[in-house]
Amino acid sequence: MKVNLNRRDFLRATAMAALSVAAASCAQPAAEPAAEPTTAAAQPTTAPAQPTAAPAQPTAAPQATFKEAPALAELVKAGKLPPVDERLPENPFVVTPVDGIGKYGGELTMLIAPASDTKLSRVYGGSRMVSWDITLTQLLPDMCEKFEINEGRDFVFYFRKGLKWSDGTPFTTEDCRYYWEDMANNVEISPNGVPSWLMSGGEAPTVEISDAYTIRFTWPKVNKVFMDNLSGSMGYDFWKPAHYMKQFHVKYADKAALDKAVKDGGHQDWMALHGANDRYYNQDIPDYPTFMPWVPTFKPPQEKYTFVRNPYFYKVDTEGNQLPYLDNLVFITTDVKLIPLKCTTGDADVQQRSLSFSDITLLKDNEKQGNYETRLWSSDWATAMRILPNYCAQDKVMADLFLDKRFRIALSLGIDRAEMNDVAYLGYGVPQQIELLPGVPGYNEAWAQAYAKYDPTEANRLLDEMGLTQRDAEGYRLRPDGKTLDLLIDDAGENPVYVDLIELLTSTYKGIGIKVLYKFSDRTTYRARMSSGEATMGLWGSELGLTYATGGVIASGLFWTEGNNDGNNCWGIWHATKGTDGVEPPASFKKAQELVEQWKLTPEGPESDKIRDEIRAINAEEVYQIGTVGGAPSPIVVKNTMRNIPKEGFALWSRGGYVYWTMPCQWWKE
Amino acid sequence: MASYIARRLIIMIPTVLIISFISFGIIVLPPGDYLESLVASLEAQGERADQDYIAFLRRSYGLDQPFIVQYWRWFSNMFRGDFGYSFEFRREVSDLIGERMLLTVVISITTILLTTAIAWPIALFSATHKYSFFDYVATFFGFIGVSTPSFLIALVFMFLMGRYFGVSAGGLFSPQYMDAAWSWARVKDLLAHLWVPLFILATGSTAGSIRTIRANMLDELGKPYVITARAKGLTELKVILKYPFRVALNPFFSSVGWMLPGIISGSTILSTVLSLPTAGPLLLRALQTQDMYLAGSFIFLQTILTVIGTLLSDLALAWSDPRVRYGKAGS
Amino acid sequence: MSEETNVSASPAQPNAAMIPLPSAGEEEGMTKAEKSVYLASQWTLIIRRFRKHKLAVWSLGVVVLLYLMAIFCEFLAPYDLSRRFNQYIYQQPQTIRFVRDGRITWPFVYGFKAEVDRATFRRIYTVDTSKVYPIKLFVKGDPYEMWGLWPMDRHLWGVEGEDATAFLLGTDRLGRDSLSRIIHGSRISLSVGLIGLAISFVLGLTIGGASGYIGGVLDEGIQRLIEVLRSFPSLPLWMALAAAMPPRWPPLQVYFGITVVLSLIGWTGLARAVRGKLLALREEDYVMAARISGAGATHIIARHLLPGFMSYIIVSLTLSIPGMILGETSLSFLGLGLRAPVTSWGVLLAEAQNASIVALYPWLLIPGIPVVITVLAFNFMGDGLRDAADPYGR
Repeated sequence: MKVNLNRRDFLRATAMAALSVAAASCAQPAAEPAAEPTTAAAQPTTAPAQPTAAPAQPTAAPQATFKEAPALAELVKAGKLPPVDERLPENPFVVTPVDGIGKYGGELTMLIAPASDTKLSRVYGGSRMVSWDITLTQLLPDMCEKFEINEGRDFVFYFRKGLKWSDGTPFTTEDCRYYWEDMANNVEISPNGVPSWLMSGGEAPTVEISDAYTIRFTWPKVNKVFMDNLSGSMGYDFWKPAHYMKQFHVKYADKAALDKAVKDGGHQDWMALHGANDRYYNQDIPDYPTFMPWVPTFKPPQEKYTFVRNPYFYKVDTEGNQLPYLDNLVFITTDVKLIPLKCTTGDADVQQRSLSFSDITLLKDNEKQGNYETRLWSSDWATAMRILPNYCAQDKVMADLFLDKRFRIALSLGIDRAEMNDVAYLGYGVPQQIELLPGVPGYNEAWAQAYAKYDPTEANRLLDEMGLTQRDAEGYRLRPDGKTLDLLIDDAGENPVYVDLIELLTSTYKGIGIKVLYKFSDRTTYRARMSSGEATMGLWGSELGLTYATGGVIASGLFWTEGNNDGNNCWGIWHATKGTDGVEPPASFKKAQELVEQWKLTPEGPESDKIRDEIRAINAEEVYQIGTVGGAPSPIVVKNTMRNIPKEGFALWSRGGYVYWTMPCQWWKE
Repeated sequence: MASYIARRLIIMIPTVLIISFISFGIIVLPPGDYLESLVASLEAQGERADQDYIAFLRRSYGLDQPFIVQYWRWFSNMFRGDFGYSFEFRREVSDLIGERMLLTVVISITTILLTTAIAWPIALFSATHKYSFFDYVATFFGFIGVSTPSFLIALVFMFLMGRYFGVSAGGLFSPQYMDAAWSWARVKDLLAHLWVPLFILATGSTAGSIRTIRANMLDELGKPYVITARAKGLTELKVILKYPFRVALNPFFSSVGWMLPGIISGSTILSTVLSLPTAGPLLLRALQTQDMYLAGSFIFLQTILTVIGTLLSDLALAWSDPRVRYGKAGS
Repeated sequence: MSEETNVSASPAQPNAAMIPLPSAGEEEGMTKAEKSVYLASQWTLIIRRFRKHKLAVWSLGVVVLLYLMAIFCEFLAPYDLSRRFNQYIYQQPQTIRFVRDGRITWPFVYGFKAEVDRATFRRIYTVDTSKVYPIKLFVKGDPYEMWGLWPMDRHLWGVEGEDATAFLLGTDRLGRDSLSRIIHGSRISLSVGLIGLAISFVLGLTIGGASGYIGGVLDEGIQRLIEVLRSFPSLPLWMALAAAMPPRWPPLQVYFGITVVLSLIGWTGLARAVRGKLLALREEDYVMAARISGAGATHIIARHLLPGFMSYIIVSLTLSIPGMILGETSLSFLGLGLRAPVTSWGVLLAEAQNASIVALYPWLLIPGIPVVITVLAFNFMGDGLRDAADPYGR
């Protein structure tokens, strides 16, 4: 549950994060002071030092020829497949295995809940234009041989010569051209223009293809999200298998055949047919060419989804064995509630999705029976639950109270974060504000702990000082308009832990004379109520405590520069419309919004970090949003037969894609 | 009789029309549509939904059309055997439903048979041996079955099976047979897994049947015609089976028609918990994601079955209880 | 259709109990005891017969107790609904003991010592025999307001002392006393839903009755209506309803709203069964007799037909009660039912619905027991009532 929550922050992450190389280089499991020095140091072999400026692969191919899986070798012998040397690019991606060279064979079984989770094969599979190294700090060329970034706005990619789609067709800039010209700039497919992920500051890039293996994207201003979009869990693509997609494109396909296909498939027009067959992201059409280590073999929905080895996969290990080691990737669908139970009987080889902190005891308890190990990876939650006063609430009395800094501080001081940590996380979390987690470079204890200590006396003093001294019969304070001071907290109902945390909050707030009411709904209702101001207070999580050290990321979640549902919608609108609409925010908030804009246009580096820290300082001082507990570890189940999976690591979505950062293609089974 | 059936069949037509319209309405009515639920679920998983792409999909799925246009497109196509297109699975609805129908029907019918086979004898015995030890035991266990939430039973049962027998929870096949073609080995694998869901599915319904039939039997047993039959010298078993039992099944037949639609969507929630590859979980999923043609066709199918079931039920009622005479109503 | 058979075997005799007033001549010759039988109204007879049914009487007692529990839950529960003990999270039940140092004493419980096993992430509680907490009656405990009217702080029973605890059914994930939560939960479980049930029954009986008795066009129309209503599969209906409820409603009100709407649809099953029964019964001779003697339709239905299928109604009513309690948990499975912080048995069971609880903290499944007890009690009570109401009974 926990891991897939509140990913909106992630959206902000991808929207704002940049290539902060220095950032999280020695991220450390947060709550474990006794742990080994750093995670990064624990895996010295995995990240061969790569020059950042001119990233090039360590020269490949120590051997004259490459080796391949026995099953493929047989196909080659039978003449059904070209030899491995021809299938691999001239300069394949060399993976340094986590523990050592593996053996071929075996199936990797994982559990998924809804059928749409087949796309996880792509998330885990890893093939991106650029990707993160195993410490999640350094960007590597992945499908490309090298890349260049100039002034944070000009990006050049040099492809690997001889890299092939899973059907054996070579990958060239023609595939990119098809995407850019025939899709992104085709008015029928993209009536609203270039897809928004490629837009930066409202402007589309200039795309320049100089030869079959070189492409250049240039924006007029700094683009801080482009590389993250390419490398993140989503792994955006600016290419499509042109040779495959052309059969569905009106410009290339035979008119009669296309019409027939549209009609047979029950589609409205050719665009719909084209869209339905463009399954790069979902990985659920068997014929669709891809670059993933395993390719699909099924039509959904199924109970069991089998992905088989891609004979043209472009990565090899340090001894020249073509990856992946495992023959198949298998997803078994099951009810989400049964996933922890099925793990205890050993039904999953590796499982992280749908397991949460509260499952750890059960998982540890059954390790012997299921023949697995429960590893605890550091989570990325700066705070699992943010309390969001709605400054644009229709309830004007409450909105005015929120504007008083003393009130916000009292709300923060009235939370017993240590108790929340003990009750909900057995003390494994980090009670703090919305800040980086301890041990992360750039961590600032003063900011993380600003007004974070439980101090009901001081909270009461502040509230009294504000003049909220009148009490009702039950002992709750009265608002200036004479009604009971109650906080109606809206919850999107996605994280079950919130119910418990709010229960704790209810009793400590009672101690400062504030009544808590709790309202459940769903994501859509929650958002609508938050942005319209119907809700006076909301709850949401906040990721990015670990890897995304970039303060701007954190800031963007706190100080919106556009409409939002984080409690400052009208302030965001005010900024976006330059004051013609919305409500003017207080000076400190306005300052922060300007800093966010400034940060977006500053290439990564000390100057960008300086702006980041200014934003963080405002956040710490003004407490516009209130953090609770973050950093609780997340369980991952690993069968005892599985090899090359790190003992310690990160359980995070946006950058790590659950397990993508460990490169499942180099996992193997004893 | 034939004219009665014919009349009923004719009346069925407007009924089906009305129901199909309302069913479609129920699916489309809740705020949002498939694409909104898609966006929400993407975002819940930390992914970003491209608004342009969503707008494109909305247009190409015809979701921007008014309700009545969408309804008519779906309804009129249905008569050409085209049940529409599932947004989520990107396949023909008829294929999707067809794929799951075999196992669904197998499970539903076995459950009904199992329930009947257990419930009828127990109910008979309980009624004829009222307030005996056996009756109390049957009552007690029956009611534990009725009064515990079935998915909780399912969870406990699956946990115990896992802990003590190493049987993994949920599903109908071992992983190696899940996507295999039908073979003798696969059937055996199915049988090895089938009894767990059957047991759980039958727990709830059996108890309910026992109670209803037992109560009706008790009503009938004391009646004079039973005494008459006894006086005629019939054997006790014959007395009971021939007269009161048949009458006691009367309410049972009143509701037997509802079993027909139940075959498709029966115990949807339980099947979802048990992760069965049957139609129920697919329907639930379609409803949750507002995959409207899939959900709509499911419901339509169910509607047809309900209407047919009602007719069958009325006929069965007439057969089981000679006092119920049709065509003479209101005399 | 087989119309030939068994008309002779159909019950033909109106029973004595159906005719409350025998002729004056017979009255004179009767003993006092006989008189009391023959002169009693039907309901007096029913009550009298019911009282002979021991189990039913006991069950009635249990039902009354359950409702008393619901009414006085604040007083009966040792702890307040929201009282938490952070140091006793997921603590197993404490047993009441009567023997200490080999001697029988006033009942008491031992305290627990808590520690966290860092390797398994588990809280471990061991009995600490040095901590003895005698159980006392009318102890001072968490303050509450009885029915929201009178502030009180006495509880029927409990333990006294700063760190004394008595969790007879263990605690949950927030360290709340499970027993207290079950007692408090009874209030909502035993009340919400009854109204929906009542609506269903009134509708089912009147509409089904009219359909069966009057027949003809009305019957045809009602049957089609039922068909239409019954054809709505319940799942989409629930979901549509939940979506249609005003977003500002608190969960209890939403649930109540759904129950009422569902009951407007849920009467169909009963209506069909009632109609089936009526179709059979109205052909009886005694009905004919009543009609010939000029009785109106309402009179015939209420006086002569209703008693004939009373037993069916009672049984289906008793079967509806578990349905009502369980319906709540089904809905919460879909995220549509009651939810914390509202506390009901269904909510408690819904919270227990995960593998960790089944495996590690099985005492949290105990809320299932009051559900079973309630259902059994209603059922045995229903049995007794049916026997008592059965005019053909001994």
